[in-house]
Amino acid sequence: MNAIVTRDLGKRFGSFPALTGLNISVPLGSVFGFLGPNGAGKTSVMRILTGLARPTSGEAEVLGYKVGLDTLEISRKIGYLPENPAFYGWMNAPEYLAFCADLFGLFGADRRSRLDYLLDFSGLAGNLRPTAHYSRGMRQRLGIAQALINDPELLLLDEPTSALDPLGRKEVLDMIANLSEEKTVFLSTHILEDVERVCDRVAMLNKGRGILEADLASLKADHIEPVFLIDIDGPIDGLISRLSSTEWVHEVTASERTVRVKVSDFDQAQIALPKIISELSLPLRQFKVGTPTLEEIFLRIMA
Amino acid sequence: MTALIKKEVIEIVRTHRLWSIPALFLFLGLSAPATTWFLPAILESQLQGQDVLIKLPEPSEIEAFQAYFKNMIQIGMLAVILFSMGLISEEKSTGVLGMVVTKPVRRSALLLSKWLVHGSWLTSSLVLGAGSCYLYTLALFGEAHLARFALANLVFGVYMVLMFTLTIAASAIFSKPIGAGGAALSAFFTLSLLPSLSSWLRDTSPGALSNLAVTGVRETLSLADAIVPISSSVFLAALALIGAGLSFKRQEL
Repeated sequence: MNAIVTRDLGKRFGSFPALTGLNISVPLGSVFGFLGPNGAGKTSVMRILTGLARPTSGEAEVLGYKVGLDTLEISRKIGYLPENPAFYGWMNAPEYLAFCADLFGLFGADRRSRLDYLLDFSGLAGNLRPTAHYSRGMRQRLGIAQALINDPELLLLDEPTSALDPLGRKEVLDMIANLSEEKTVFLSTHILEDVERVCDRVAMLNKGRGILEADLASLKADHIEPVFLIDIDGPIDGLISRLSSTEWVHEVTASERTVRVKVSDFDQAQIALPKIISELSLPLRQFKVGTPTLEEIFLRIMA
Repeated sequence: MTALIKKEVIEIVRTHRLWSIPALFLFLGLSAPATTWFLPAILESQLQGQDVLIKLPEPSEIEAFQAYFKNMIQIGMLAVILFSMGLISEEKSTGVLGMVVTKPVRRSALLLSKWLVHGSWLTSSLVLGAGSCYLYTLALFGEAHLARFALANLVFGVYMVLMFTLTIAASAIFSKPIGAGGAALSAFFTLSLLPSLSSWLRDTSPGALSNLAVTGVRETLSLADAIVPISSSVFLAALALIGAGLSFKRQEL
């Protein structure tokens, strides 16, 4: 079963098509990275899924409920963090979370323990300053805490780490990683490193159109270049001249002690390269396949 | 709904809303009898030594009450609009509402909770202003007709709640407080003008209530005079709330 399904989802603002014919399926239990440059339509999708905006074409389902028809049922089961979370300026963090707990009808010991956990998690326990005086990072942490108040089945997070310091970012990513076993997380971000760290599936959006949806692992496998990086703790001239005269080597480039070898036969090179290094008695520091980063894949696809 | 009502009550207690409207209504309630009572003495002191003779009729409690209603109809109503125009639209424009409506909350319940709590607070403030006006008038003039003044306040109260309802409805429809305020002010001026357009509108339109409140302190209002404009006010308020609810439900936040 899928947590989110969109079918030919579209959204226009006047004559401007913000989203065109988007089809994605987010499997239950996955951490799904939703990527795209600014203005690609990511936030429009988030807003449609949460009922804040209406699609102009197509349809969407969240946890089996029709978006636009079963708004209350959906809202009971999701947690949503918008890109710029905003709160009642006169409330403090404990009051805002208590208000959210009231909206979900939480009461008794469950309510108390949930509030204590989230205040502790957000680092805002005992912070009685009104939220009007919060920094962006504090607002982001409170925003994440309120999204978790109902222990949701599906978390929709729009740029959850963009305003956080490295420590806060690590905590949020760890939290997402921990949640991945029991919940579905739909994560929109432009920080590709975050996606690489926690997501198992990604979709890419450009100019309102879905251009790719895949497993992160298979996406990387599909984009592996036949390139090896060899790091030698010594002179590399001999290695370069030997490789340059080898039949299956397509290109050799070097920088300081690292040799980058592009090959025409990946399997043969994987076996032969260590042998060549050994024959030349070179002190090997590192030998690795040139797996592209998500950023490299992203830039390649967008180009 | 209970959670939303609780939040609105706490918001009143924790913000300027706790004192702003009650303080203004209290001021208007006390200043009307005071200025009516002291005006002859003030004029006399100003004109002392000059060869000017101004004969003023003896001030009465009726004039004090009429001055109170005239102030409430102008300053009081503007204050109601100013303090209510951002109730929903401001939360929309800051993004606060977007985070609330993605939780299990009916937008109609949100509108209704604000209308109930803030409408009740306005009505309580009116009681405070009217009560202070009556007691101070009684203290200064020695007599004041309670039943007439209470009935006139009831009629004015209906008109005030109508204006509040129109403002909160505009706040639900418009995305910015300034738009809501502009729409509410236009409605206020239109309602104020309607009674002067025809005798039928003078007797039936909601704007007739302001005239009835002013004249009601001189002679006891008859229920027959007030029932039609009260009914038209209630009808218009209900229509505005339903329309705003439908528009709010369909809005993108």
